[in-house]
Amino acid sequence: MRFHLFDKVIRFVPGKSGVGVKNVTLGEDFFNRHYGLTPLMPEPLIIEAMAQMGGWTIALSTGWQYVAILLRIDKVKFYRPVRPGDQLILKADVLSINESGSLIEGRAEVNGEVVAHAERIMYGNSPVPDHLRAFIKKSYIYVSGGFLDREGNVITR
Amino acid sequence: MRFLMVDRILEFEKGKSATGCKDVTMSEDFLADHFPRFPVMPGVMQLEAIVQLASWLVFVSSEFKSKGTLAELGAIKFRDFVKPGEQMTMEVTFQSMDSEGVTFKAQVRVGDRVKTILTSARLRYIPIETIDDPQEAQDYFHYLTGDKPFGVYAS
Repeated sequence: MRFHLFDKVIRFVPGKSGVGVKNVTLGEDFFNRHYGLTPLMPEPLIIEAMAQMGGWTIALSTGWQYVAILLRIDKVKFYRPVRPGDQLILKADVLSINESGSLIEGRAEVNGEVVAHAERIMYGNSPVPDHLRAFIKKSYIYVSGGFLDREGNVITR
Repeated sequence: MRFLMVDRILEFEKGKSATGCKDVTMSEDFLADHFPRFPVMPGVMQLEAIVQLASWLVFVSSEFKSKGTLAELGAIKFRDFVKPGEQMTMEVTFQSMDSEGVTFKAQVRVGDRVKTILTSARLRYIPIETIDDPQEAQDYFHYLTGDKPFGVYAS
């Protein structure tokens, strides 16, 4: 399986929030054995989806000076199962960003209903070495799903 | 890939605790994206390994009637990276069980080094017949514990 847990970004307010979409399809590798009779999205991957949306929001908010490394996750609740065909809306709200680390509050919704809520996702901000900056920037543009152009600017429609 | 994050169950005590392991290998698909040029075991995959082990312990503790899905997570701390070539040892300890589910804590070690600490989480019971073939699940459990070979080799 690949490890991209959101398909595109749909909203971004620098230093404040990011919203993305994850379409859940039966073709996902993780449905193989999870489970044999009923496909249910593994809850830790819903956390990962929120955490990746948060990480993207942090990296973009700091102009790719930092990449966010997951340090700690606090108080997550899962309200209902996520199944193939569901479209997850991932909302990452920035609680704080500074040189050493960042805090994000995450929500995952399906049809306007909250399916998972993470009170605090804590990241360590790891400085991006100069020689990797272009590469890192390219990968964040890649996962934005057309939200950013090749220079990394938000495409306004 | 198949979404199986426990390679072996080393020991368990029904209703109390279990220890399992998962070898982390470079050929793991998700390491290509996590991260490019820096492969490390994703924290949430460690969490998944913990949850799967806890779910197996629910399974054997319920006389093979239920498994568990993650309903709540108190806190999980990632202290250090787990790298390809390392073997994770997951230790799960049940703190309380009731009619709805089980509350537990866990940690992930590599050798003597504690890499990840889960201070509390809760699994909700889910009847096995609603998610998996009960007999196959039971056979697979015995395979993981080393009690019996799996499937067609069982005789």
